[in-house]
Amino acid sequence: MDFPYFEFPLIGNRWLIALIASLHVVINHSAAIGGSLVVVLAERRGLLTGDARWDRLAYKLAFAFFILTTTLGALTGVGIWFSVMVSQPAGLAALLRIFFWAWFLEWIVFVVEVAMVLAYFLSWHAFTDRRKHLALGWAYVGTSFLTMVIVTGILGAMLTPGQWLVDRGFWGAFFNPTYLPQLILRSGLALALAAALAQLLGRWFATPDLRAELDRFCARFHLAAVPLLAVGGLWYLAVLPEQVKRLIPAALLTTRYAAWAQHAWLWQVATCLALAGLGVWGLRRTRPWPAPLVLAVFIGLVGTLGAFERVREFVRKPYIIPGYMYANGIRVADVPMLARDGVLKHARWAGEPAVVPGRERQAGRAVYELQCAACHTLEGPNGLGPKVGGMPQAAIAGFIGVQHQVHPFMPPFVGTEAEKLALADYLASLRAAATREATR
Amino acid sequence: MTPLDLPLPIPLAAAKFLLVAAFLLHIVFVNLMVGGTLVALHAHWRGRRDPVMLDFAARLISTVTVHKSLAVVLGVAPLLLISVAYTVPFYTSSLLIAPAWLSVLWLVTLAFGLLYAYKYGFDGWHRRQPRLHATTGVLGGLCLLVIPLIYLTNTQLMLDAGAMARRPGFFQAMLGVGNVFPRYLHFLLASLAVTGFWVTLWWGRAGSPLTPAARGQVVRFGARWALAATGLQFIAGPIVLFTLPAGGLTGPVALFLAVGVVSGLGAIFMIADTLRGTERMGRAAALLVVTIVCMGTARHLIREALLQRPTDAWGPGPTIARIAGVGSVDDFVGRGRGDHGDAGLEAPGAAQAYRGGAIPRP
Repeated sequence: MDFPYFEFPLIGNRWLIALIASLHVVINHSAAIGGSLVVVLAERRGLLTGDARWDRLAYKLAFAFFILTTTLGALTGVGIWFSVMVSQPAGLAALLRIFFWAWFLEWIVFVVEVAMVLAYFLSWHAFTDRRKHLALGWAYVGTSFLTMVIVTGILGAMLTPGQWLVDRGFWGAFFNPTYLPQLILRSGLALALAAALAQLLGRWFATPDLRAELDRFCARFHLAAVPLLAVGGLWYLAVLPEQVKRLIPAALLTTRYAAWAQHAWLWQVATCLALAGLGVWGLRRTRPWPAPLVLAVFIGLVGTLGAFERVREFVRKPYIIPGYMYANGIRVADVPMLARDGVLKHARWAGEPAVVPGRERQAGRAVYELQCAACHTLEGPNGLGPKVGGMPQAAIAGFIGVQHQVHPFMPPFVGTEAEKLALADYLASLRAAATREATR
Repeated sequence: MTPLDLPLPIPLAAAKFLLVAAFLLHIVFVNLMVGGTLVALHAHWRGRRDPVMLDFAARLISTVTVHKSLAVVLGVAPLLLISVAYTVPFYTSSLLIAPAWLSVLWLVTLAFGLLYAYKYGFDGWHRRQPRLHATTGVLGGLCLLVIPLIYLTNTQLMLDAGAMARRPGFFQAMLGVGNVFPRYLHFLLASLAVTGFWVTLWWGRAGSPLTPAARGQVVRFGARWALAATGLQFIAGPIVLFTLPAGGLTGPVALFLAVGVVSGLGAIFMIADTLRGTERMGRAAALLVVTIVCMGTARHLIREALLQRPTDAWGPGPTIARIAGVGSVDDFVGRGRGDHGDAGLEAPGAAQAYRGGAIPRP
């Protein structure tokens, strides 16, 4: 309500955040958190066996991970911040106040992590004592994991703020109910994803003989990931509040296909079994894995991580911080006041200060920007035009009044009756506009 | 209505102190990244006929890719602190120029990708396709030259509530709000100066990997850049000062600027001594650190002063009058302080975080 409105063209704000965050999380889990361990263990293998091929392979993997993490990885990390800032400024402002010290600590760990990866990779050929270089690598693995230890507290609190709702305290928010299971789950995903990415890169970086060895080496990572995914995933599901659990099917497959995803735990079990089977099979195999299989495993794991992030982000709706702020940035405590006064009166940047005769549609557009645009677009992804455009204004207004009851993931409409009607009028005009475009 | 009803997690003064400290740390590596790229390209150009310079260009760009990683990660703390200490003005200005603000992401990613290609291209690619290799470096440098304009526009726009209320786009804000271009020039010269110092100190050190002859050549090359860029700051600095928005120049600001300038002058004499054969670059660098701290502090005080001024007092006139001694005492201490601060920001957290001119309803 205090900030100007911005909508990213074509894909909308929600998809902008999703794309940047997904890219970041895949790079971060595979090339940094899990990847650092894969590289260090590969270097260690070369050291212990005296096989120089493994040292060279470890260096090549480190090179690829280094470039990936220090370009796209680093920038998509900042990008999450930038995109949330322009999409959900109020929510980010609140989160920064709650978790300032966690983020500050995270920054210090980030600085150490970057210093470590620079020192580890760039000094690869400078160390005569390889054990010392390996020690540097272990320090990198530790700091990389520590970044996840910290950020998981913040991510978990956005879904299950736990004690924070009672005492507004930092520690209650940080060590929230989903903290530990999420950390375990993410650790498993990082191991498996890093191994899959190393196998994928191994198609270019290793000779067929070495590739077969690399695939067997990585099969152990897949096996190690299975108990973490199983325990973390099922524990995570178990501690989610009931009302949150009910949203998981819609989160996995959208509301239209929600019936297909009634039992999220089955998905988890299937993923774990598939990975365990691959791990056991891979350990025994003496030839390299077929390239399409390696690609399929990587894509499958990216999909699994993506599905988890999608569920985590979706099921905290209708809130951005449960019990405190709705996904559109409206604070729960402000709802009575806004229902009395109207949202436009309190929205500093809304073009229309109130609904006035003759400018209902413009006022409706302003209400859309305040209450809908955080999650919806007009005609793009999750577009309101295709959903309700062209329907009678009264029907839309009626739905808006009960939207939070029909769809528990939607926040309630907040504002006066006139604002609701203005919004409905604007939404009703959307499809008509699209149709005009089509027939032009 | 405000999202800022939650208490500040850190005393405001501490947040601002940390902001200045963290920003200085960040900007030094940004200077080394931008200046290092430009100086490496210059060395590469000279390297067409001078193998020492070509070798040096490759060595310098290798350090740039290290500095760029540190610049990015050290930028997280200032972003966090400015978000907490100046939430409303900073987020508002960021949103007003959102397309440009978001383009920082792809521009930096592209720049880093190009610079990595340029760096590793010195291993052999530059012999096969010298023009393409050099073009890659130039394009990376150009990307880096655009990004500071976006940052400067944002941090200038956030200081002017009146301008924000007019909802300027990025180019309107860059061309019409504050003194973006003089500060950009100031920043570029600082980047070249800091890089010049870095080159002389790093490659002139006892354990330098260069041969004695190459070492002498590179040290002179770096010292010349440091001397030229620091010297030109004595032109750029006054331009920044004279184009400061009204209300920016206060007594403490003038004091810090004066100390910074004296220290900068001392650094110039030390570099000149080095070029004459007496090694004084260590002392010169120490003086440069004093200059950087003074300039960073002055920058912060200017921001504070501008946020506290009336929203209609925008323009260079009053500043010039003040320098000429015709401004009133009220002008120096920030006329109207507190008069406009909290309008529209009811919550105590907001009042603490943003005492600047309230953004008039557009």
